[in-house]
Parts: sequence; C-alpha cells; structure tokens
Amino acid sequence: MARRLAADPAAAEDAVQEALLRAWRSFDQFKPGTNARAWLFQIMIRELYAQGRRLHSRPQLEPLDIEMDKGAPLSSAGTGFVEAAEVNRALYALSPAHRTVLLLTAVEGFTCREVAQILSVPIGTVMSRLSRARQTFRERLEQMATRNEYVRQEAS
Amino acid sequence: MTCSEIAELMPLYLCGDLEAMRATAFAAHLDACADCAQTVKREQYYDARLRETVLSDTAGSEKVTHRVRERLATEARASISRHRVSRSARRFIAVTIGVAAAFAVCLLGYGGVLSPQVPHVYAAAVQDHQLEVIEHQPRPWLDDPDEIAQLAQRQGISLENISALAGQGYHLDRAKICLLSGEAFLHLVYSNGSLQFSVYLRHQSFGQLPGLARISRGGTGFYDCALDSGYVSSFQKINVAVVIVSNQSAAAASAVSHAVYSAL
Repeated sequence: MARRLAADPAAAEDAVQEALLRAWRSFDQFKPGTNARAWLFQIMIRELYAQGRRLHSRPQLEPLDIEMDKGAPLSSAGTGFVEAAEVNRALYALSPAHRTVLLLTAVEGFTCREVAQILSVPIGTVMSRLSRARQTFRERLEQMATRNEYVRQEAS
Repeated sequence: MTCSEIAELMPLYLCGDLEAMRATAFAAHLDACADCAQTVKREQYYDARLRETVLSDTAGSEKVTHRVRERLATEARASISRHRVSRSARRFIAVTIGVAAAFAVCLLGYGGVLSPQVPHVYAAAVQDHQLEVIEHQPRPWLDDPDEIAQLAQRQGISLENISALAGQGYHLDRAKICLLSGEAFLHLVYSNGSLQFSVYLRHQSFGQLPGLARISRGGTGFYDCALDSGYVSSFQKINVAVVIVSNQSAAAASAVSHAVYSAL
C-alpha cells in the first residue's frame, strides 16, 4: 500500500517507519475494541500526506511504453509482466485521492465506511471517489488493451 | 431498485458494505438485469486484477522492519533509563516492538507475508476470516435461517448442503455474501459457542478453485495450506466449491475439513 502511494520506495519505507513510531508513541489514543488496522492505515496515510513528496511526482513513462510492449508476450489472463506493468501504469495515472480509495477498498479490503473513517471524509465522498477511480482505472486499461491489440497486429 | 440506484450503490456492494435488505434487492436486480450484472462482473474483474498485481509485488520489508525495531528499541531504552519502568511495562515494550514489525509488513504490502505459491483466493479467505470473524469487524450479516436459505439458493446452493455442515457440535451462526479475489462466495460462519470456523461456498459453474490437484484424497482434489493467521482447506464436491478457514491448529482445521467433506 505505502509503495503504491509514496513517491518512491524510500519514501514509502520512511512513511511506514514514521507511522509505526507515531502509533507506538500515541498508543494511549487507540481505543481498544476498535479497528487497529484501520487506525494504523490512518496514521500512515497522514504521514504520507505530511511528507509532501508523493504520487503525482512519479514520472510518467508513456513514450517508452509502446516500444517496451512491442515484442512482449500478450496474454488475455494471468499476471504476466506486461499486464502487471499496465495495471501499475493505470493505477499511477489516478489522482492521489482516487488511488488511495481504490487501494484501500480493492486491495486492502476495507469497507467504504472504514475508508471514510481512515480518511476522515464523509462516506458519500468515498463512494464518489471510488466510482470515479474505478471508471478511470478501467478506461485506462481498456485503452491499453486496444493499443496492444493494434501493436500486435502491426507486428504480425 | 433501478439501474441508476444500482450504479449509485455499487461501491457499497463491491465493498460488502450494503446492509442485508438492500443487498438482497441489489442481487435481485442483478438477476433480472443483464446490463447491470455485466457491469458488476467487469468491476469485480478489474478489482481482482489490481489486487493480484499489488499482492504479487514481493519486494521485501526486512529493511524497514529492522529500522523500526532499532528505533523502537532505542526509544524504549531511553525511556527505561529516564524512568524506573516495571517488569510488565518492559514486557509490553518488547511485545510492542514485535507487533510493530508485523505491522510494517502489513503497511508495506502483503508480498512478504503471503507466499507467491499460495493462490490469492485462499489468502483472501484467511484475511476475510481474520477481519470478519476473529476481529468482529462490523458487517451486514444474516442470522435468520430462512433468509440464509434464500441467499444460498440464489447462489445455486441447496439448503440440505448448508444444514449438513452443522455437525460435530457446531451450528450455523451467520452468513453473508463476500468477495474473494473478485468472485462472490457465500460465507457461512459455524460456531460451537467458543470456537468458530468459516466456510466459503461457490457453485462449481463459476469455475475450478486453484491448486486442488496438489493433494488428493479419495479421488477428490484437496488443497491445504497454512498461513500466518489461519489454516485453509478446500475441495470441490457435488457441484460446490468449498473453502474452509480456521484459526485453530492444523489438525483441528483438517478435522473440520473432513467433517464438512463427509457431510456434503
């Protein structure tokens, strides 16, 4: 999660380290019986925001992609290299806010209500961000699939 | 429920956040509306692809775990030297350091925890059982037997199968629909008053469960694996794919698995 939200792997590790230290120091603020995992994610995401060196600073490698994909195997299922790269590219193309809600729900398994608590926003905001994130993510992957099909036809 | 209401509620449905009444209405609409059903399947597919990609990232978390351990240990030593700290407080600090290391792995990603050899559906089942059954995170469960039967029938699973599972001193406690790797499963929780186990059921027409050929008992493919927070056993029988998760011992999990297999 941190690696997908931070500007680079070092920033992700720093955020996790600081989040854990912050959680340890403020453990008295944790309410027993509540969701410890959600509490930790809340601290980590705040830490990532506080770092101020995240998400949109990641460079986009669009011009290289077509060249990279030309000779690569294409598969309709599974998690081959090309597909994983495309999924990551579509994910990083999302805005930070949209990427966060999509990762928290689709990957980490939090409910919309839990995400609303983690991000301290109304649940309606989470729902609208999530709908928008899914739509953008899907459209991006479908565009890539169309482009790959074109490249494959050109190559053959 | 209209198609526009379906679109509005879809984020809640996909997160398993929809309460029982509206989830039932939602599912009924999907049964009747091919377009909305297709939209839901498409969203589940892309969610699953994202989850597979992120969770297959096996970049290690050892470095940050080590750094956190060192920082916490340094802070703990400083705290101990400043104050007289009781033996129980020292033990608490030691435990906290261990827990923090575990959470470092959690926050960075599951890659370091879950073996890439374990199919994601089983890892997802263990995580789901941990959060929803062991940690009791609030979810819209059904506990009325008639409603559970209706829910099961909509998934193509007969009532006899569900009733048959409640043996060995266990009874069916609650049920809901959940998503594992983007696929809908009927999640049943059985309890004997003190211990609980989860059974995830899916009609076989939705496809084979992964890894079942690895171990074979009595001609039926089984898959067993142990993860950090639970034991998984799965098999397919009478057109039903079954995934059982227990956080008891491996032997207890295996016994539950055999009991469920015999009961089906």
